[in-house]
Amino acid sequence: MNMKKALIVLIIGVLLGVLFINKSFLLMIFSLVLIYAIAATGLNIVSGFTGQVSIGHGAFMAVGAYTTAAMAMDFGTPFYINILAAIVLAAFLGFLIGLPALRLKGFYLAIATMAFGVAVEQLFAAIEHFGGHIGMRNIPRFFESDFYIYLLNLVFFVVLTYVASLILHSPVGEKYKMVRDSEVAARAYGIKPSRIKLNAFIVSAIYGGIAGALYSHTVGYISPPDFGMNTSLNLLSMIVIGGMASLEGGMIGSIIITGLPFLFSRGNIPMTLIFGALLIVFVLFFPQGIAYGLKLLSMKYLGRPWALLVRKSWSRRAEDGKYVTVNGKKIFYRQQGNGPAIVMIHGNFGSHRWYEKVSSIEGYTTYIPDLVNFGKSDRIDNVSIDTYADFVKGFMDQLKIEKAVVVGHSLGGAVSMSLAFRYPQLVSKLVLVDSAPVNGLVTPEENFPVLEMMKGNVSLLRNSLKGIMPACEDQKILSEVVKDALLMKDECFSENARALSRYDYTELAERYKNPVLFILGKKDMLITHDMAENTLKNLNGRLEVLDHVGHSVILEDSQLFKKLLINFVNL
Amino acid sequence: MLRVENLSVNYGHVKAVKEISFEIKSGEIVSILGANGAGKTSALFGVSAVVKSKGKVFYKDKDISGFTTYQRVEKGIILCPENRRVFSGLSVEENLKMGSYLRGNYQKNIETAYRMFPILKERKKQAAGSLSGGEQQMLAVARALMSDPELLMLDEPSLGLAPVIVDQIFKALVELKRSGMSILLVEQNALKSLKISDRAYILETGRIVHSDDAKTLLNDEKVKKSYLGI
Amino acid sequence: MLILQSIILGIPQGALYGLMAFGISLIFRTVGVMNFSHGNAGMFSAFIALTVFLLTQNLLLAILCAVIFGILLGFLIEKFLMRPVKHLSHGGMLIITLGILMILEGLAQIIWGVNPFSFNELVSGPPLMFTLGEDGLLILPLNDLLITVISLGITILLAVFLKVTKVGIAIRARSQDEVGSKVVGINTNMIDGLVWGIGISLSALVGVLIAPKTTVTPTMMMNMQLYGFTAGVLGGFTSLYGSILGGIILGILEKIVGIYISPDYQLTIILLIIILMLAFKPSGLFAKKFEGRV
Ligand SMILES: Nc1ncnc2c1ncn2[C@@H]1O[C@H](COP(=O)(O)OP(=O)(O)OP(=O)(O)O)[C@@H](O)[C@H]1O
Ligand SMILES: [Mg+2]
Repeated sequence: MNMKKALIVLIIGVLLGVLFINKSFLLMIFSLVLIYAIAATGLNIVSGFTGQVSIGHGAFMAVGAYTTAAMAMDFGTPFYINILAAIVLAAFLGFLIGLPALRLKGFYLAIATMAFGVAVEQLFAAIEHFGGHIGMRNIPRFFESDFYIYLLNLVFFVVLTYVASLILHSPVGEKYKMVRDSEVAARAYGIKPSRIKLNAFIVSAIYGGIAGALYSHTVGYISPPDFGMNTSLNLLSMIVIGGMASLEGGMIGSIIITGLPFLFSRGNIPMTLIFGALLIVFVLFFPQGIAYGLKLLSMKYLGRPWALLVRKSWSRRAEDGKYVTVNGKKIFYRQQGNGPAIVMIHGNFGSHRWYEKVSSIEGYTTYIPDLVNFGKSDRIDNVSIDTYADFVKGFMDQLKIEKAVVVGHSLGGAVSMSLAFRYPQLVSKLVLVDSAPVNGLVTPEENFPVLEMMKGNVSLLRNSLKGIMPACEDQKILSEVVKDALLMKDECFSENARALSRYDYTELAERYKNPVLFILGKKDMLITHDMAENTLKNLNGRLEVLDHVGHSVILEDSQLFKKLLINFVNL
Repeated sequence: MLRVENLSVNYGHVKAVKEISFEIKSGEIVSILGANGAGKTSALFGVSAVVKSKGKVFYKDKDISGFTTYQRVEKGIILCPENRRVFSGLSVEENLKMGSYLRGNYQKNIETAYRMFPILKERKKQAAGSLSGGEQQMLAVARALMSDPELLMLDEPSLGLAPVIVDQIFKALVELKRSGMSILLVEQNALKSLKISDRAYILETGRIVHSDDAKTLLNDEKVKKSYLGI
Repeated sequence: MLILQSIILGIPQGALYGLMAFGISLIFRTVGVMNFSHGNAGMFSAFIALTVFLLTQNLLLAILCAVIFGILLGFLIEKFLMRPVKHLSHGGMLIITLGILMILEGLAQIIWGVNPFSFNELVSGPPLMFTLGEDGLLILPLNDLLITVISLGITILLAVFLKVTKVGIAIRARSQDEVGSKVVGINTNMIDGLVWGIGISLSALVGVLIAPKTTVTPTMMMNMQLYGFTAGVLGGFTSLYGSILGGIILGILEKIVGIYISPDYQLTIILLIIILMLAFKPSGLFAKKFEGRV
């Protein structure tokens, strides 16, 4: 959550309040939803983001609530002092309990936190001064008006969520996640898991304390069971249902868990039954919670009209280049310079534009097509690497290119291998730039939904492409290749990736004897060093590893690429 | 005896075994060889349904693909798993008793087991976890034999054993074969296992890349160099 | 004197804690799940017993029904809820047991309401009294004596079952090595179901035995579960007999705190013991080494 989003939430919240300004009852519910959302967000920091499931978090709310209530009633101190005291006490208690408890793992931690939660509840119930089992009544409320109370809670919620996002994006926040994902790995980075867990626990205790303090002066009366086992379990349900490790999860969960009971007429069905069932259903079937589902939906559908619009206007734009017809399909290409031919083939999500900065090679003619199914070229049905290669062959035949140096990037690398290995006479030299390996590239099945989503989500597409060219600083070319990528045939968002897993040229490779240069960016996340070496195993080739670039040297350091290419072709 | 068709084993997105087919005829010793991580253990796990797998498994021409592990044990397909997997808190005797949980005559077989591995008899009241690594391996083999296997699958039975004991186990395998047992053997010591095998399959990154008579493989220079390290 | 009386009153209570811990430990050791719904499963079974009793006026039949129901419930939980997540994550399993806890409480509220029901003791009659010295008088309620005998009897029975029967050994084998137990032909799913069944039937038994004191309500076993955990922690979850011993120690300790400090702080102090124990000696009082099952 950035500043902008925080402001938007604040404004929406205020509008909502204004809308129901005369409905005290609703405003009260809204306030409660906000308060529990704060506590749940705190719990999410330690359970969702740091991976330490706590089932005693109601205790921290109790501490906050009783502290402010007692101070306000006994000493009449103002709220801002009381809440500071509540924060300090909650943090201290968090430290005290976290220090031993966080040495424990999993179930043992759960037992300890459960015991802690119940112990605190019992303790407050045993203290006469705090009203014992009955609790405290007539606690001064913040304001007369429920509306102002709601506003105050809203401000606390927005600020605390914003702070949580700052923490989670800070180096400490990164450490939370590392500890959650693997303590062993975290240790290898010099992180002390116990210290990080304690840190997260204290932060979440503070959130609980603040929520409790707000509760006291919002509701006006408190009793031990308000913060007992049930509350702790409800908080846990909130983050499981809303979304573990998601900042929105706490709020979504709170709306459901705090708000839902008011939908049912009271005394009908016990809430614990519904919440328990929800908890199980979510763990079994939607372990990532509602927040994730919503995000997925919005990614899939919200951006779609925009993507279509971008695509439409971009496809209308005149592009300077020529067409040639191969097997009845028009192929768009650019041609530049004079001399022997160099054919450059782009990768998946690519277009001729990827080679824009390296298209003028002194003493050579460069031919840079959009492959069929990409960019401005026509569409075909049968998506396979060999088909793509056959079209490149047809393209060369049409343009009377008898022999060429062929450059292939990524998927284009696979296409050029298919071309070179099956028609060795056409390819005098082969340059593979972060090419898909010789035995195929398997995309993990879980990535396909993301690939599909890119169709309808420009920013996701942009981020992904940016990710494969980490050193590229030219924003203009980035946004142009993003739009080019949108021109790709719809089915190809997945199909190209599948096609990449369906070939194996290991044996064919032996038929190609001409020189091969494999250029690999060290920061490449897709192609590994092993893949590159394996590709060259049966070839007469050399591997050039570049330290400072990722998957796309042609865009990231085009000058260097040109130099390497010229050296190689002139060899 | 056992015929496996297009067996695949996946762990999440790791494809450990990719559509392999192989068979073991009655009374044969068949070896599966391959480097670390080739998928040998996974293949055996697939055959005894310890992990989920795809493909078909036929036993005596009956399709047992849907069978659970214990149903396969009932049929006499017994796996002696990698890393021993003895019950460390149970006594040696109790371990052996569990060996005959579903099949096999405990009284009769325990005599045989103790004869084969006298050290186990000495230790019979001791917790299996307190045995030495080699002794535990012996216990694992003995436990597998307790159930009168028809098809015995051994995953690296010689791991951590002294050469003398290894020889002893291999000799025992030959004897078991003679008594009519079929054996599927996974071994690091390729040379040794080929010598007692009738046939062998070579596994590489989850695929069978080679299969032949053990004798032929032993004499094949290329196979020797690239797979057997000799 | 007072202390002797605490011990005498603490033992029956502690035996129940021990039985609770025994069930929790058995499930934990074998299947690797800490069952947070243990108490409520017993509570629900107690309601079943109550219903049967109201219908038939037969206490023994009622208790028998509760225990059988507990076994069934355990089987069902294992089959439909735990098995799908068995190898996924500990967090997931933990949260599912919490969900079961909530569901059982909610169901009990719907079916039987929140008002407490009284439940008969096994035996009624004047308590046993012993005179000691001048004016020492020790009291031992008859029912408490019977509870102790039953608890210890069941424990011994189970111990023998686990020690000598084939299935018992199989349960222990399964708890030590899942793959190993599969390859010798043990039907691990069946064993897991059985273990859940035994575990929960123990909680059912505790439920009906404690019911005369707590009355039968949807929250009657909340504290019992915490005591069960505490006893388990004291005894070390990895040792079954430690659980019983841990329970008895806890029962005595509880009475002593109640008498010498204040009944109000009983639970709080006991719970602090859990936390300290977990933090500084998670292996329990008796175990030598901590196996660290998460
Ligand atoms: N439980 C698991 N989860 C994920 N991957 C696994 C798992 N078990 C095995 N693998 C992977 O599957 C592949 C095959 O493993 P397997 O144990 O079958 O090999 P192996 O041939 O028996 O090796 P070794 O000779 O070392 O015993 C390896 O890459 C391994 O990392
Ligand atoms: Mg192996």
